[in-house]
Amino acid sequence: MVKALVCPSCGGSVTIKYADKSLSCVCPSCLSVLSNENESLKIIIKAQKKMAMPLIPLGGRYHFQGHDWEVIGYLIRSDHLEQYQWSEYLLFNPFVGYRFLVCMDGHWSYVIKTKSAPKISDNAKTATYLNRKYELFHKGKVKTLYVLGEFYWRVKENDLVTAEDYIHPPEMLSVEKDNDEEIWSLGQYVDRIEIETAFKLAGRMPWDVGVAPHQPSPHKEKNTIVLYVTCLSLLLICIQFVFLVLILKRDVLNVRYDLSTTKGTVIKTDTFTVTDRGGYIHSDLNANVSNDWFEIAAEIVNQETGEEYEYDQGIEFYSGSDYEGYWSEGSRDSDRRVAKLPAGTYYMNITTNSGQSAPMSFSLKLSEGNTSWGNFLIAIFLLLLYPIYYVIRSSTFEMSRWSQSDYSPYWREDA
Amino acid sequence: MLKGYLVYGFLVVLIYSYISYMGISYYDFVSGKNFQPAGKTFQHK
Repeated sequence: MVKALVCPSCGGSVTIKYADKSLSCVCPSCLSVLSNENESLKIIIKAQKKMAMPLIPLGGRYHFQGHDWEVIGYLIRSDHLEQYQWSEYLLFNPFVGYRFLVCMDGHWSYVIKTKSAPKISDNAKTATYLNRKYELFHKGKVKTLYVLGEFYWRVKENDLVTAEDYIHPPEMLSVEKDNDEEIWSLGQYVDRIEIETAFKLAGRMPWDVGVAPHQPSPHKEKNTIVLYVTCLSLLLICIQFVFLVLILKRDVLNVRYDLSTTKGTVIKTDTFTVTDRGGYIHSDLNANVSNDWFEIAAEIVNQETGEEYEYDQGIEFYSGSDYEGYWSEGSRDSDRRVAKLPAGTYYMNITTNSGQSAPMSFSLKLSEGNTSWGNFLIAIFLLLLYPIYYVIRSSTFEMSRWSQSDYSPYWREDA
Repeated sequence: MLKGYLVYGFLVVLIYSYISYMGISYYDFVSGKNFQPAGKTFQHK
């Protein structure tokens, strides 16, 4: 029901579109806030100081969230210190009722009054509504700085209320309390593109700044990543198990030689067979070296094809005693890992060398079918790289969200 | 992104299986030494 009245402040014409529902309105000429009482208007706040014009024009009709809405009211609100400001649009549909569209730092919320009050926990840190738990994010005073349009409640001068926000992204549960009432509302985070499209704001949308309290995290694939990592790791473990258990380690050569001299002695070993099993060949050299080094230059020769492979392996061991007692350095054993050879019959030509030409005995043992744990651990590490990066990104996002809260789980002040 | 990770993961498992069978290390594989018959510590004469 449209009603045309005269502003008691400036004498200008004031039109109230929904006079049967609106209890307050603002004179478009002098910006005085007026109370709609019976057939006349009374001044609540005389001539507000003009502030920012609404981004979405009052009186505009838009289709949003499945309904047609008319924008009938606009508020600029802030915390009591006026450090943070945000704007609220009052939307109205005669068949659906009132809704709010809230914009803070370029982040938008679609807000509806709840039908009942949530259950607050004993420590007042969580609120439960419709079986969903919301965490306390903010508590403080809120005041209204500026209003335009018409409203279904009576706007008060110096309107200061206590507000609390609880979040469960993408939702935010808010309460505003004063001496007379306690109003709960549920806000749903809305993507800016949806707002831009629905309210025809192309080219005029403010950029979103930072992370909103109830902004949904873009890192929602945690469970899938955990599943993938688990499956891939299990696959890796199974393969490692196959290498360890099914590809049995086998000694292929075990020889011992006593040398009268270690410089340039050439030894030809007996033949030995290498099979086609997987895994590396382990060469274990032992010599009774003392205060000297010992080295072998080995050629492994395929008896059938004549193909030769060579490697060298050395050991050194030094010991003595001084004013601190006995000391030793090095070892009389050394290990060497060499790659798998093609299956076949081989023999070795071993040439020895050492620092001093002294009688010495040494033993050499070759085994095949050995499995590396290093490769397994590196593969696990490579698999975990992306999940670790993902967790860091996700945590950074959540820490950024909670950085504006006094109740951050990442920043607890112990009493 | 997740499909990319899955492909990457299977590639890691595949390379791991290959180099473990061949008895070489990731280092050998990355440095290209795995293409020699006996890997890092062996050379053709």
